[in-house]
Amino acid sequence: MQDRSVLITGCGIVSAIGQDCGQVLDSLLKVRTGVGPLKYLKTGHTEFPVGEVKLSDEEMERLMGIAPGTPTTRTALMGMIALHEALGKAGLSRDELKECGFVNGTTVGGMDKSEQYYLDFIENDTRNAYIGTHDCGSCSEMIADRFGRFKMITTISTACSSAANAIEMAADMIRLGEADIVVAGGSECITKFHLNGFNSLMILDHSQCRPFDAERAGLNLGEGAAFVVLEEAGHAAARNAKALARLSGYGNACDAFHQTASSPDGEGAYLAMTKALKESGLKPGDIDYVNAHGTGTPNNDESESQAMMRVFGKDLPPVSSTKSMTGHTTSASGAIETVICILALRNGFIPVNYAFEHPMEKGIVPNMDLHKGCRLRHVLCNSFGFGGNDSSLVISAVE
Amino acid sequence: MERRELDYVVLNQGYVSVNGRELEHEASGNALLTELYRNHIADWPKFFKMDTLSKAGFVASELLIKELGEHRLGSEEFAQGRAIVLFGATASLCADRNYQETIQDKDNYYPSPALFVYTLPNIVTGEIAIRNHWRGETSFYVTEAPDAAQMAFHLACAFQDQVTDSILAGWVDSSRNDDFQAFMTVVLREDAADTGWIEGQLKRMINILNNK
Repeated sequence: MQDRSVLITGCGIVSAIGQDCGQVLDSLLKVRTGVGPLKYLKTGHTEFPVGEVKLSDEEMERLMGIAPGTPTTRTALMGMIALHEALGKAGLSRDELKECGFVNGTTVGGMDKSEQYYLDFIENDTRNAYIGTHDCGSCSEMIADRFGRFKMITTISTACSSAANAIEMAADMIRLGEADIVVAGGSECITKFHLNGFNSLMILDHSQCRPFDAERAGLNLGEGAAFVVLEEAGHAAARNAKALARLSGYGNACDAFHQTASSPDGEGAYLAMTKALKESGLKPGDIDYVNAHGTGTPNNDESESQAMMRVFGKDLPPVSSTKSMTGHTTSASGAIETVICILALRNGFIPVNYAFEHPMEKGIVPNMDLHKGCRLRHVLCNSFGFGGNDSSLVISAVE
Repeated sequence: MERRELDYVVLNQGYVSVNGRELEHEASGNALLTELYRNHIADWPKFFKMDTLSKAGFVASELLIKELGEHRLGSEEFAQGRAIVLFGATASLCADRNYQETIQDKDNYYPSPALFVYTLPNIVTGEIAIRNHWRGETSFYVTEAPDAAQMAFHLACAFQDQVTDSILAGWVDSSRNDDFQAFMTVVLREDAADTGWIEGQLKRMINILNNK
């Protein structure tokens, strides 16, 4: 990565704990969870706490200046809010987007509207416009096209590692000289489709989730969007763009163990973290904080604990799962947690693993203190998808 | 340059051959896959959970690996460098339909994860990767009919990553439960430069599949 190093010159976020970087930072510093009773999703399964973005679709449309009745989806709306903030922070004009790429991670796409209007699709022609907004690619285009004409737009759907893989693909493009700026991240709204799916896998906690706790009983579904502006260092310097952080390494690996579950020894997670560290040229001891995938499911937290202990040995840095506050934002989680890592790096604190009480046997003990005023140099951000599609990013402070 | 021919397996609901040698069998349709499993594989009970697409892909890959004499379990030889690149026309539609029937009854509604996991075409690549402990690239492309030029192009692309040493490649399709077509081969990095040659080899396999 010596030749074309990748800086982060903008970021934007919307999640259950805040609708921009400032609000999310405030929630992290006050250790305030966004997980609570279900409010916006129309479902009978009200027994599950969720991390919803505290805005209705109509409120988001108003925020983005979209005329009522325009076909759109919740995934697209959240994506627009996050992208608006990221582009603003990076100081990119509409005209400059013609030279930028856009890579969006989503797997649920426009499923929310398909669920609402499915019977209309069959019985009449009143909602046919929403057939076209169903697929993941159309959500990416709606998000991007709101702000201009990007040079290229593509979509990555690898379930819960989608946004991390979008960031990796964007970084690859910059390193290979295919673009100087690529905006990457992910967006995903809660739908009945995956709430029910996760329920049938019996991995939803009926109360606030407790990542890495001995008594953890599953995840809370969350939703949100986040994007980072990745920019080649020389290009950023030439236009006087301020770097927020550096993407100094990344890795993706496959577990080859099971179609949905992770291997008990966390082989895929271990490989992803090891690759990311190797590429960054750093040693495990250089990492000051790990933002874990930490879903709160018995399987993930056990597997990820094993993998982290293998990578770091006795010198495990502070680890936390911020999904304890945001909920599991599935395809968006890699980007949401990347932005949280940037906030931690820039504001000198270590996010807390909310709701942890009981250490598990042979597990890691997550961070429970903010360590305000600490200096973080490098942090590792984990995102693991179904079936062990595992990704790790190393994000570093810039001088 | 004198080149060896690529090893290959061709399989459909009533025919199976390895490098052109037809294997004896009694059954046809789905039962053929079970017969081949029992006679030639037999040590992977997960086979019985699979959908037809995965079964066909799995059996074809197993027969090919056996022919190649590759060490599998306990060997890390191919762990990082072996990719899987498969192509098919109807993706997982057959499994989708079967699954849909299981959630039809409102009074007995249960979406079974064991069934809906197969409603994705790339699960077949996962089944093969899991069986062999391969952790390289896996992909499943959906395209109308086997097209040697298109397949050769995608294989050449897969070798661009500098990690992939060899690719398990082929066609696997199942439009109905008792109806499937597959061929499978292994392409090595040293073959990759000559896309025309790979295309010719694939064409030969496609011809056999189309004529059976």
